[in-house]
Amino acid sequence: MRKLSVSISIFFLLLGASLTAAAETAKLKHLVSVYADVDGKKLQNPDGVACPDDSFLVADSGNGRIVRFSYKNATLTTEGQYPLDNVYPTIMQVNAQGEIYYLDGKQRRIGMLSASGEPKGNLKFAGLPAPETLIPKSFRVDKEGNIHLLDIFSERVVSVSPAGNFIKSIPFPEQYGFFSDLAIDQRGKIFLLDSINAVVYVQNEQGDGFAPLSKNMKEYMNFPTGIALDRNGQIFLTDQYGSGLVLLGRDGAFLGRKIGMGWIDGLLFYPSQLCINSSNEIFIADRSNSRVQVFGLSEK
Amino acid sequence: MPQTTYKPTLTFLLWTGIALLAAASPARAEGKFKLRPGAHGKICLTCHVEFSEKMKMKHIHTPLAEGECSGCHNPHTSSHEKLMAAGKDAICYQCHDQLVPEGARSAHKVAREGKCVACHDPHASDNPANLLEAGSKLCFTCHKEMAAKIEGNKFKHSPVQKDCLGCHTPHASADNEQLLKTDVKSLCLKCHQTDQASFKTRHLGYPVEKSRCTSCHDPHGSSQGAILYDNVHKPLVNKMCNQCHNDAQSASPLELKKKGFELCQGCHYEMMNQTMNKKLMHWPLLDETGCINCHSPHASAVSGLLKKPMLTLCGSCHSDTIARQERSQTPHPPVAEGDCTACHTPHASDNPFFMNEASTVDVCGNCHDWQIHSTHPIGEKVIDPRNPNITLQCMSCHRSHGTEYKHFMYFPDTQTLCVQCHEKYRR
Repeated sequence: MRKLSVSISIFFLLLGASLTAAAETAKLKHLVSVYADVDGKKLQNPDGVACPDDSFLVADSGNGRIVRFSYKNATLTTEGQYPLDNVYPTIMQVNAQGEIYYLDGKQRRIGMLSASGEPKGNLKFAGLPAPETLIPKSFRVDKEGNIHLLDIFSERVVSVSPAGNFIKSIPFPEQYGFFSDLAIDQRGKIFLLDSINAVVYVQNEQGDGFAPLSKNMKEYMNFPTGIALDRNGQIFLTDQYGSGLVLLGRDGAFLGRKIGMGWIDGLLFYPSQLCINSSNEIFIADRSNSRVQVFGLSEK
Repeated sequence: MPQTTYKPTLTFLLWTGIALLAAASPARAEGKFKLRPGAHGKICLTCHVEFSEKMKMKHIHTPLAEGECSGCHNPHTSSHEKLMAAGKDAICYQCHDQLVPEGARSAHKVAREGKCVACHDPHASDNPANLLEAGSKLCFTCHKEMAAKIEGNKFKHSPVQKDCLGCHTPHASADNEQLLKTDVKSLCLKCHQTDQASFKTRHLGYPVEKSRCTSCHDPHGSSQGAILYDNVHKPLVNKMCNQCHNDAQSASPLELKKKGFELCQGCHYEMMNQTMNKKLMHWPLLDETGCINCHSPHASAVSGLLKKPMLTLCGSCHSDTIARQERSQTPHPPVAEGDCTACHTPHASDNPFFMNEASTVDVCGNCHDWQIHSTHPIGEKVIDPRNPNITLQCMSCHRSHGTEYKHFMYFPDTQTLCVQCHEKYRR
């Protein structure tokens, strides 16, 4: 009897472990590659992509514009294009109201467009604690519309309201290489990506600092620069110099690499920002292939 | 009586033990190879007569002195050259296992790799520690550039003239970088008196004894007065430390007046304006450390006041690029030689990959001139068959930092490369 109960326990333990592992691996299917808008104007070195549920927006960096597309029922449609004056848009975000935010890589500031694409000026900050200099390398907009900025000059993550009013600031950890990007999970927890050491950091339980979530993963990737989380909290990184996609578990464990370097559809060449929508579609700004690629994401 | 019965028993046991040990010791000394009694060591030297000269040297490696040739060699067979008992990179560590402590801050490459024979003779030498040469002469057999620099210096640093081991430890330093015996400050203050008036005057009253001397001074000597590094930042030449630092009499004299690039743009405004207006920014320039991520603010041995030679400097963040080049079957001279700026602009650029020029073909054409007019069709008008949004250029076939294949091609052979586009020729 005792032997039987031990065997049953081992069986359920193994079953549980295999289910957890299965839930934390993913299968990617190439859906579409986006090369141009409806007028045939080609994308040029797109650095950013945002994916609200009904559409996706591309920072067409080389052309200094933002283009909105939709991909429904296997059909790609251009929904609008918004030229920007003397701007090099990089990171893209959209809030719950559909308002568009972009990081201007040239002026290092956050620009805004209305949901229909009208310019709304640049985000102005109020009440920032010293030092007042803020240089955002990346940013994210959360469910409430608050904006979280990766401030590399003052080595902190600064959170502001949609109007730009200061909410809080969290200092970078003591030791790190260089933070290229950040992400926010469903519960509002902030993740940082150290490109030099290939380490993901996560906001601590107290919410006042960051601690390493992963170990140094240089053996698995070259120079990761983009980070996003799916609805289950699984972490996805774009490995820019390694031209690929890297999957990590919720605990920061390396799970594998997806997609290789190349030029044909389904391959990547120096990718940058990525995002994942609620339909589990993953959008990657395939920068040096001058296109955006969309993949369907399913759990194995 | 208990005492009378105990004493003989103890004595008996003691003598028995000694007798057994004595009987066992020849067998143990001859080791696992079961050499004939008395053959210990000597048997090897009956053939290897050249060792008679070695045995006359002042310093003999302990196993050899004790005739324990089989401590390092297997007398019968071995998978390693010279019948070594283990790989040549591992054999020394079988006894000398503490030379490179785990987690050492710095370690001599040859020691870390087990290449002990680069410095030591494994059998015997007339130099202490079986060194191949005495003093700095040994170090200069590898560190030739340093030797030439020291020789050519106008102003010498006397400890360097004596022996490298005055400041450096030869194997590893548990707590200090550059194999230093102690931290830089402690090392310098062993000889230099900082409380003297002349020291304070020369340093304009700044409490430099609290900072790192090698930020300005070249410990190996230089051709600049006060052995400053050969390239000196202008404010330091002009003794105007307060251009960047608070006044010497202030509460925090060594503190900088501003942080990051904001400090440097006070003088370098033209360069900063040009940089800030580019589409792509080398982001570390804009972090809290700013320009001094790459440049030394005081003086440097490297031109452009770079903190380190370019290959090491760029490689400190872009280690993958350097590693890729090291693995590459065909080295690309600018990368191999650390001339990253032959192709890239380090501060900011309007061109992809921070290239010096808008067209990759033009960048490559600076060296590979004939390739830009006598080659496969490339250029702005030639669409890449694999992707309608990109044009064919040098990097369509070659990865400039190197690949595991010849001519830094992405694919193992020309046929595989060509059929990526010319699909009808695919076998």
